[in-house]
Amino acid sequence: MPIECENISFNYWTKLVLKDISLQFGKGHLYGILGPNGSGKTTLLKVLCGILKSKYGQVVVDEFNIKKMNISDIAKKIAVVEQSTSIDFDYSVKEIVKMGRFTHIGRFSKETSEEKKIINELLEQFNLIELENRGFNTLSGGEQQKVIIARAIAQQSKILLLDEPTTHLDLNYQIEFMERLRKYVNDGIIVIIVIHDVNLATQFCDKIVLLKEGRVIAFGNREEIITRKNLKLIYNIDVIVRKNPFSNSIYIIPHKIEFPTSMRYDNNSKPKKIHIVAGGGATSKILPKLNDCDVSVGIVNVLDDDYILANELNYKIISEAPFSPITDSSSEELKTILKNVDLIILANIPFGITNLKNLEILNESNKKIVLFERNPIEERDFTEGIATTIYNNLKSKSNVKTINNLHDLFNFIESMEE
Amino acid sequence: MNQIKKLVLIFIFFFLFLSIIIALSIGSVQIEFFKILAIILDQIGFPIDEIWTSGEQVIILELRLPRVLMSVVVGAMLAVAGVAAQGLFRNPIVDPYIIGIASAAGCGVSLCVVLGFASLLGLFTIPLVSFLFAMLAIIIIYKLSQTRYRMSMTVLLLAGIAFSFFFSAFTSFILYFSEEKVHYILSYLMGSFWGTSWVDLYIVFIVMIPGTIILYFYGRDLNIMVFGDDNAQSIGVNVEQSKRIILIIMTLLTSTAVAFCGSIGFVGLIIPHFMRLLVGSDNRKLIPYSAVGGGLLLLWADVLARNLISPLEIPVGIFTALLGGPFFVYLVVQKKKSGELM
Repeated sequence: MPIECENISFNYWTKLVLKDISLQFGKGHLYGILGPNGSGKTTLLKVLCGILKSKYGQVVVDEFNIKKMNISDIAKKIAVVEQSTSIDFDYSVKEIVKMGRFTHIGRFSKETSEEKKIINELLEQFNLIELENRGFNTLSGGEQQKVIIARAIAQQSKILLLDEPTTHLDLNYQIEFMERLRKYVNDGIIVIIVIHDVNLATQFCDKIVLLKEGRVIAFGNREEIITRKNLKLIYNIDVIVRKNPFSNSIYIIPHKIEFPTSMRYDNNSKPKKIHIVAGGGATSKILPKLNDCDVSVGIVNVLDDDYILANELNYKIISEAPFSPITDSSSEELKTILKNVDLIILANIPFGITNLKNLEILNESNKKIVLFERNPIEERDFTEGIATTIYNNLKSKSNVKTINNLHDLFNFIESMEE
Repeated sequence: MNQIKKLVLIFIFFFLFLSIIIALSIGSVQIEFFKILAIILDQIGFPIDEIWTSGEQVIILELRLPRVLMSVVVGAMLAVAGVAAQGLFRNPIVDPYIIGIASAAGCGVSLCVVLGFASLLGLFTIPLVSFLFAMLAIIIIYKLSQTRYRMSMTVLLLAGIAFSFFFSAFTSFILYFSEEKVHYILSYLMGSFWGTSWVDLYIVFIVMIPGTIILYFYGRDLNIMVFGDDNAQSIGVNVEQSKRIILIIMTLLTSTAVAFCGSIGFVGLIIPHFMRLLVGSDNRKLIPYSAVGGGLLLLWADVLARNLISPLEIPVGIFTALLGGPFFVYLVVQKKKSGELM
């Protein structure tokens, strides 16, 4: 492995910042280091490039222990881009890119024409030719970042470490920047990046390191690492992990967990059994909050937003193929489930021919039913009145209650007796 | 603007040479311009008929020439030390005087003179004591201002001011108990080129030339250090070593200047600033041009100092301070306007 660390522990005074970290970084990958503030990301980066020296464990670069390498040899192998750069004296863009050649030019020699060629090629590659005589401090944040990267690339190192390089960049620059990094990875450079934005990381990094309190929680391919469980462990927040339909990469949607206290069941009490008739994304605000109940969802079509959500939340789902009407077998399944539930919730969903069966089955049930109603049924009826008739009949029954807002709904569930 | 810059840079060397000749011709005794040229050419070895009196020759060669050259060399030293200090401390409003090096050196020299050790080790006693005191001050100030991650400018300036006051107070204390040497020490402390000998010039010269050359070769390091220590190290600069070397050279240049000419402040502040406007921040351009600029400034300051109310002499340090004080305020105001003061 070109760069690896073995059992690294690092402390500032008495505070242990890195705890027994072992990682290997190989060619052909873009590595993202993720973790909350103070988890040791930047420290890890600084240990990897030899700026901080760890007392325990070692960093090995190309078979050499980094502690035994001198500064200029390290610089030839590892280039670093720090979080943000501000300078008190203004240098021109060209002068700054030239600084990256420091180790390649002897102290007492002048820049050769070969060196000038390298610099000009870099300036061209980064579209900096027009800016080459501009002062660094007169550039925009995105342009400055570009200059600093060009300087790092000028070092011609095989390993590039970046500390939150996208933090001060606009969205378009972030994407441009990350795509540039991918290009370097394809050229055979190992790129390791400390990054805050989980979605940016999962979109562009193929390997992820998760850090928490100085320990590696997980390390591997992004699909295996970016999971609901891991992110909850790291950030203490519930997220939904989804696949980006355009790029096939994954992305997360964070949402806060705020259960009413009594909905968290004790270990000795049984969770409430709730069935939800969902569809069309109508339950996106309800499903996540029923986390501690025994929830079943259906009947919904596969690929429906509510299906995807329920799937992520690991709820039981009764499903049908996309756009097809409800079959007898799923009707039977639903009836069986409804026999054992404590509560049925009918979400504010539109009715068509394909999902009308749900309403009919509910009409036969004598369990406790809540109609969650935000819009009148007439507006949601695409069955020329059939749904409205059944719905109104249902509404008049004694085991049925109509609720209009989320707050009341959750209060109702909370106050429900088992 | 660029054209003007280039012209200035091309002519600045020529202008320095011309200034030296003109400065030689100015003084209480009028000596014609061509006579000065003739005397110098004769000295260098050209066979020229003696059209000057021997008195004129003595005035030019023994009095004015060493003094004029001394002002140029000391000006260059102070300006180059200023470039180094600003680069090292990553701050454009620092110079070796502001951070207390000069008062430490001055204090050392005063102590040496009062205690009668001035020639204990021959000619080099005073420069050596001056250097040791300055080094002591700079090491303490440097260590104090170095926090874990970066240099704290606030601590640096505060510690510098504190040291300035401390050493000035100590110098006053020495002066208070040294009746017969008070005038000598006072006029020395105010900064003057009065009574410069060729030997003095040689010593200063052999410090200035290698010092400037070494700093020039560390110009790239200084450039990169603008990004901060960690960054500079990741680019490949051996920051600790480079800093140490630059710090020692800077202190050596400053303390030598102080040892021979007293404190002449603000040259190291004004000249690097002015030259940065002309050549940019690249220290490998800034160092040589600042050397020339510093030479020019002190040369003319000294001409004024010895001729303005001739035959009385005004200490040259007073002139540079009169020029530098307002300039420093101007810089602070500029920095304040751009909202980046410290």
